[in-house]
Amino acid sequence: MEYIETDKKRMRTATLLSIVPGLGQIYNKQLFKGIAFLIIFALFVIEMINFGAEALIGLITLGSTPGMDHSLFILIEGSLQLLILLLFILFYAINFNDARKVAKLWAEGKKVNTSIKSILLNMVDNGFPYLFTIPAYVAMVFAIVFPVLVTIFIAFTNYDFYHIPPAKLIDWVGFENFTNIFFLSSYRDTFLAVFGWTVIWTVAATTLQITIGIFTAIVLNQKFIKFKRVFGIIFLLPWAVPAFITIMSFSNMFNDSIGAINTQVIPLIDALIPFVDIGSLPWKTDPTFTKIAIILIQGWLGFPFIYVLVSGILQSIPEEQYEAARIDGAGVLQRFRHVTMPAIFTIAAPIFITQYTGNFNNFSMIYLFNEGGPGSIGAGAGSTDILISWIYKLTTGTSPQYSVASAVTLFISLFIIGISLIVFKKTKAFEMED
Amino acid sequence: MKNEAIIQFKNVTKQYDNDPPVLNDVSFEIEKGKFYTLLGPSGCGKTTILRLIAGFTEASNGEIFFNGKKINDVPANKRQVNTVFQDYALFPHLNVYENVAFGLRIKKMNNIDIDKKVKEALSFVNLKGYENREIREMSGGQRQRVAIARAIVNEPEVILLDEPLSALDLKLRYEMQYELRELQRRLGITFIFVTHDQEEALAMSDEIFVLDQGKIQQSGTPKDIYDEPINRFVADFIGESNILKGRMLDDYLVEFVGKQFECVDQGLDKNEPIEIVIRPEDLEITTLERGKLQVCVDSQLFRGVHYEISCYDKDGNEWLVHSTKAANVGDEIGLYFDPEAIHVMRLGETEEEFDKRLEAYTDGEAGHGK
Repeated sequence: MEYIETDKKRMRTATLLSIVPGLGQIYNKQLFKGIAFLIIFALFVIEMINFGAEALIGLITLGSTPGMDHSLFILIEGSLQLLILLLFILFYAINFNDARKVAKLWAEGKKVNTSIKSILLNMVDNGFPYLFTIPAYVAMVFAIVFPVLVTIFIAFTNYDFYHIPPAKLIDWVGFENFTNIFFLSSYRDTFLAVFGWTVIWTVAATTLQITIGIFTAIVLNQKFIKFKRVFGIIFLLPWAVPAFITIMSFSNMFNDSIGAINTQVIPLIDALIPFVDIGSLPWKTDPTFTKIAIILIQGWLGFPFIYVLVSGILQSIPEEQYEAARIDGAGVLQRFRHVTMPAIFTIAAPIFITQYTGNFNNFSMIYLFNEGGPGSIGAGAGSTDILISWIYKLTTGTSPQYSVASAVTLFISLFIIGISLIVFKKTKAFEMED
Repeated sequence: MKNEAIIQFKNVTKQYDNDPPVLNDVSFEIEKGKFYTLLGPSGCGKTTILRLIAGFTEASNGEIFFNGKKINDVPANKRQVNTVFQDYALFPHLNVYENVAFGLRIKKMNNIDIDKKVKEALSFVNLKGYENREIREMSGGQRQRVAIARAIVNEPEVILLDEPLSALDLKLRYEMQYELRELQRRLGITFIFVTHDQEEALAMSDEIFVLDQGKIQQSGTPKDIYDEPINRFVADFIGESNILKGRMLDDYLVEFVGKQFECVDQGLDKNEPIEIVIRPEDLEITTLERGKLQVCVDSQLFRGVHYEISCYDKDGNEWLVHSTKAANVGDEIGLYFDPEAIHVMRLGETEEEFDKRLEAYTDGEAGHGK
């Protein structure tokens, strides 16, 4: 649309005046809106003068006088102020846009709401969805984005045992924590060992629980099995008992000297099977045996969920598909491979992935069984610690390393998000069908 | 000339535990290269016959022969039979090509042969160019064709179709009826088609088996079964009918609704109680004087091709009339019909006796030199 020179000038003036929010609106004869914008602007300016400016500067310096300035609080206040500033910038952009748009309406001679009533009505009519969702978005920014932001910031500081505020100041150190994790030998070796074991643990334990789950579901789905319900309930028992109690019980059972495994189960096996003499095994003192025990227990703990899930899927596979495969000459194994497995995986793949990511961060299994032990592999980590339990040890204990813990946390998040994205994309699980 | 029987059932019974038998002492023969339909209400045993032929269930009693060889104990995949399922049973994770190729891959055929056969089968069902489609991207009719392609690619001698059209909408169903019939002629394979839709059965079959309560009630060409139903069930199940109790007074003379009528049936006992069938389209609306029956029009439905008019005579018998002309509800009208329109059914007659009687008519006619 072509505008004449005065209209163009009007639009330019309205936009320029909006440098002070509200003035543009008042120029557009929207007095009520203008005043409302002005009040928001004034509140922001007052907030900036009294608190904000200082907080933003604090976010850069993180305090200057040890003992007086509490660096952690300054960091948190600064993060908070940063979010407020971002919200204001958003408002500022909306303000410009609004002034321009209304001026354009004037220029085109269209109807413009000028009275308080019509502006409010327009807001309720056209902005109804926004009115209702904006509070939720604001709450989300402070409840979710804010803590994440603080964690990210801490990963770039030297917040550790030697820098505990308010006695000491915390300082920005850039990527030092990350370079330490990946390149400084003391951290690097621990990180690589823990990370390696985390991956092995995740893959082994989760694959085991999925395998047992699918296997039990398929066995119980066979027609010749009697008392299906009884077995079904027995299979669900590991799920029904709170996991931490189960893990602690197993922890006792695997005790090297007095646990049931070493004092009863293995002697029984030795006695029953000729030429077999296992003797007692160092379940809790030898890392390899601890790892085996943990993986087995997780298989036991985790399969009922998969069993329930797969049972449901199996019942939804039409019998005709098996018959069709049978006509074509597919044997038992081929029917399983070509009919059962694809059906299970197309439906359950996303759930299986959450099982993997869940075990990647399965703190309770590792920590409750043997507290990540036995022994230590440096930087506070035990030989069976996974990343998440290592983080726990880094932030508790006598010499906490908050900044390194934050950096490892960021690493875990990025790693899991990355893997999940790749797998979700590959499995087509989220392709919507009609 | 009699074609060789490809499938033969001898006194086959199928019974689960102590329930009444699903199939009760059934014997029949199926000839090569024809289109057969098993027709009957749900639970009549038609699907059981199909599953027995396919090898998904075993007969409790009796023998099943395939090309003269007993196949009671032959597993499903060793039979020269393939099935098209009601819900197609296509594999959702494989595309069209792989679905059709599935059986060949299981047989470890080499890729070049597979490719040739799959392409051939797909072009047979007019699905050329759809090889790489996913099953969920196909419409109901297309899935149906993929299922057929998957069946014919294995080159079976018999294809079993278990109500394959019931999931399609009316228009598509008509289209597929033509296509299936056409496909069967081109392939020359025996088709055994299961349905509960009598129109479908009449339109497509060379031969129909009407089943009820685990027994074959009547078998024959669509025309035979429609024109000469053996009993009340068949008459009622195949199309609309007016069925009434009556008495055979003499050869060519039958009595019902208290009146005597000329007919074409003979050779029955004198005064034998019988049932007669008159098809609604054989009744002609006429004046009271000219009509053989006098009835009052009770209600009328417009069916598109014709009006379906329901009338009652003064004894309270309902008469269903199909007419292209409308009648007025409440009018007294006359109904006229030819002697040939009356079809006489003996009570409790077996199929053998029935066939013999019908043959006697034609012999008799020839003998009389009519």
